[in-house]
Amino acid sequence: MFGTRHSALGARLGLVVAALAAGPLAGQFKPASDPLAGLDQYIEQVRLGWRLPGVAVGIVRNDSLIYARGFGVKVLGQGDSITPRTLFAIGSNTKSFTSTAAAMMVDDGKLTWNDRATKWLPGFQLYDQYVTRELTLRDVMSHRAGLGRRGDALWYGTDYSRADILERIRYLKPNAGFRTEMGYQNIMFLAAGEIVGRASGAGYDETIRKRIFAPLGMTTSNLSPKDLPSQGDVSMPHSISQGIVKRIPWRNLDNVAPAGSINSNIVEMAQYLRMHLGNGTYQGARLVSAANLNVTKTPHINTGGVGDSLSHFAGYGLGWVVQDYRGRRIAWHNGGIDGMLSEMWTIPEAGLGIVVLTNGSPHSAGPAIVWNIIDRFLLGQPSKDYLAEGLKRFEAATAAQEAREKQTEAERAKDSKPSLALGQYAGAYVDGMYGEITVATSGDGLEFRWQSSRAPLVHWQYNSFRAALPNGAETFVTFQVGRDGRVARVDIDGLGSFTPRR
Amino acid sequence: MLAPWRLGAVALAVASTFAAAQKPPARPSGVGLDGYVAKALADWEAPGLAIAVVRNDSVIFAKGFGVREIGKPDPVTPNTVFAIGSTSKAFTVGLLGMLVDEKRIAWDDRVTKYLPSFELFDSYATRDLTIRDLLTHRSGLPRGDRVWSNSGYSRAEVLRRVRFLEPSWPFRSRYGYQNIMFLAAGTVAESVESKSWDDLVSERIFRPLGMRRSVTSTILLPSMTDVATPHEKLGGKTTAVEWQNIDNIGPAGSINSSVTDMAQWIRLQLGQGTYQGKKLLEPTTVKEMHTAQMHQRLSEEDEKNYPETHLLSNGLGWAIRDYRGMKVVSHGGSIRGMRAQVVLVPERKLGVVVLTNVAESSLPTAVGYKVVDLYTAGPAKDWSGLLLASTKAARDKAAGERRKVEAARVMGTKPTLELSRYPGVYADSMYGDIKITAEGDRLVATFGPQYTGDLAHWNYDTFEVTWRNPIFGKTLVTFQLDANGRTKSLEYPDVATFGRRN
Repeated sequence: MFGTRHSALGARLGLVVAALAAGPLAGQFKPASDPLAGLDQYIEQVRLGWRLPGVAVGIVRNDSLIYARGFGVKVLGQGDSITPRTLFAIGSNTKSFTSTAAAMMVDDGKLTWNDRATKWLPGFQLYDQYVTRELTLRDVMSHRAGLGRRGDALWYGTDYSRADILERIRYLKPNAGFRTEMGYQNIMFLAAGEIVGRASGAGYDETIRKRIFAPLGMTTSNLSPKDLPSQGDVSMPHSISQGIVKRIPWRNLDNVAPAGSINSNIVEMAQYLRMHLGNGTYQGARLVSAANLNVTKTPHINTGGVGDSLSHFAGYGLGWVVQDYRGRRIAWHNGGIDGMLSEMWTIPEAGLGIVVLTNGSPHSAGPAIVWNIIDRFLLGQPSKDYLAEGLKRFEAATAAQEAREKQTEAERAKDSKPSLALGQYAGAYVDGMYGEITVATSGDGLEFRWQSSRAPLVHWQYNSFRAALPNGAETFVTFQVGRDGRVARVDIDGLGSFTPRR
Repeated sequence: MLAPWRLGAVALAVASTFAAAQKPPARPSGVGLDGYVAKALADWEAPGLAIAVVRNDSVIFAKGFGVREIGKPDPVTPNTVFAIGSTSKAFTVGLLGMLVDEKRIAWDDRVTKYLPSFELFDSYATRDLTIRDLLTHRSGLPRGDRVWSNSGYSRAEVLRRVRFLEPSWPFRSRYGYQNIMFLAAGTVAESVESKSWDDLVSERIFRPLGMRRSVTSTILLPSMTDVATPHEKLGGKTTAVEWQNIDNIGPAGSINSSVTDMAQWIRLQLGQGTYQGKKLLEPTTVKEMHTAQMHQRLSEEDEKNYPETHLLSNGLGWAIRDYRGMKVVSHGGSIRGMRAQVVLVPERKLGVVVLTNVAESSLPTAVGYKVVDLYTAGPAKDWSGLLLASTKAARDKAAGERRKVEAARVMGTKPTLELSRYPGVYADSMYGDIKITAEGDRLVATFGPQYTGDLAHWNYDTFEVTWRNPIFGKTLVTFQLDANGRTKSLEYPDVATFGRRN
């Protein structure tokens, strides 16, 4: 299945819902003499604990960048150290840039929060007619369209353009009632970015550069790996799997940019957090109204599931998760794309902002660093060993995953054979959303072709095959044979049902 | 203007300064509370109040203050029966929770599965509406309370008529308090059990909790002793008024009870569904009720008065908020001449119920939060003083609005037609008929069985109706004419424009 193998973990623009640290209340809130004491060592310990090549951490306090340090290296096996200016992919932290730009457009009178999506994207359609009619700017930025966390295969590594993706998403059947629950939806954020770009008249990318990067002095931040300097201060993504760390290529996200394509560094991200902690002002200049910026940090859908005595609520705003923690309000997000995981946190009442950028995945180094820092500032010292806790949870998840895979393997009917001769499976198959795939004979076997990707189809059992896709994700492909002895349908787990093109 | 038909959740937001996590001191019951409540009662000019506090599954404080009826000596006791108004909603949810435990319904079942002919204005909402939607105030409908309040319509008729209520907001897009959806929820239970909501609540909740002085209708009150009389402020004076029968919206608010009885209900809630060793509800089901599901924005006034509450949401029949780092589960009740408040702090095993026999007051809220502060080592905040000042400011503002309307009145105008041409029947699909008749040289309006009032010319074709029952106050209504010089409709502000039928 897509996204279930280790190799694919964290390889999607992901919001990892951080399980909040429970544990006993750590006594009095005493001011620490130096909340940063020992932090360097702790971060390095976290980095090594997760076998992470590099990490950069920035802390904003009361409108100043009080801590900015790099740890480890940009590329495994090379000596080049991470600096506070090293560029990383920030993944889904991009989403708040999109909602901040939307707030600016609302300030300018070009958009209203309740504008219907179809006002700006007249041809935009979702599966359900009612949802198409009702869908608003708030809906597309709060993951409440009822589509669930699905459809990522439409943009991930495909040749489809932003326009293609927005046109094809209409075929995705809802998996939840409209506005009933949170279902993380990258393609709806793409729609939001397109709306922002049209409202501003300058297009999405230029709007972000002009309205956010430029006034905040984010001069090296950009929206595409194509814009990364070839010789500059740039880290490389790495996969971490079963203790093996491997350098992997940068993932291009141009076709879903408003959901996750920004690359930045901790110094520049700190300026962005200063603006957010300043309720829309930066160095005395107002970039966006406090009222509209606050809309992006107002819960629009409950995300459920915090439920301990330190935190009682979590909701998704527009590009931000909002929750309480020890009587304070926190707005945060994280980001994850191939080999790069990041965190961005603000606690306005404490004047505190934290950004963590890393060049590896999967791992939970980000939460381990963030919660440690939060406790330092709120309690004077960390309330628990977040590193050990995260490692333990990860090990348990890994073991559970391995057990599931073993179980699948054990249940496999190894001696079963396909019903048809291999050549009879070959052909072109179509789906409204994902387009056309081809099954072709290749040597002794079959090959799965979708756009520019090629993968061998390995027989699993009966009429099911396993396809190892080039991006590392694996899926099952099952052929349904009709009464006439021909392939009537191909079910591809994680994508859908494809019918023969006849 | 009085709005006695409002079955209102008092949007109580709460707060105070952030307090260090400390062990709550074991306070002897009632210390400091007696004097505080007695003074608050006087400050609010309230005739009577009863309070019970539950801590660690024991009723540690239960007391009556003041009198059951102004000008009479009968004291309020812990057994005095008051209307609990909308705090009844949690009972309807409790009943449904039992059906969920028995797997006879699910929270996300569609309503039309149980009430096949139930219909809302919008066909998509009709199709998709779930039991959870009914219980979380997210139907998108305005209150529409006049369809039941003093209307004479039966429960079935109220449910039939709600289909004509046009949504104020897109389905599930935001919170909008809705009593009629709770009536529908109670009717779902009736349809599953083939028994009245009243019998179900009595048999499945009152009886096992020993709530012997709790009833679901005013019709049983004449046979009971120690019953409080409702009071309204009429002409600035606290005046005894008749009980309002609200049987036709029962599941949303018709329960009458005492603090002694309500304390048992609180023990059940804090006991996660178990009372005196007997499990009435599964802990997971109670947790579901106490879980934030539909976010609500804090009003500006709430944010000002209570800066330490960050998030407000609806559970099922309860409002959920963070309060000084704790989760508070609460609900208010408001029906003619009565106000109620139930506040739970599950993590401290603390609960309080306050019942009063005066309307238009935040007294129960103030006392409720005073209790929470006292038993959770909160700061010494004068809740009563704060909310009284807030209430007085709101009253002054309303008086100012009234003066503005008076000032805007154009003097010296005449009705367009002769008075004899205004009588007729003006009808609305939702709210029914308003009959205008002539009595001598005056016009008289009749709206349902209870509203009869005399029209006095205001200006142009607008008249002021003075309802003969002073509880209903005054209303400005305006006639519209057609091109033939005939009245074609009657506009009743905040209710509907009634079309002429004959």
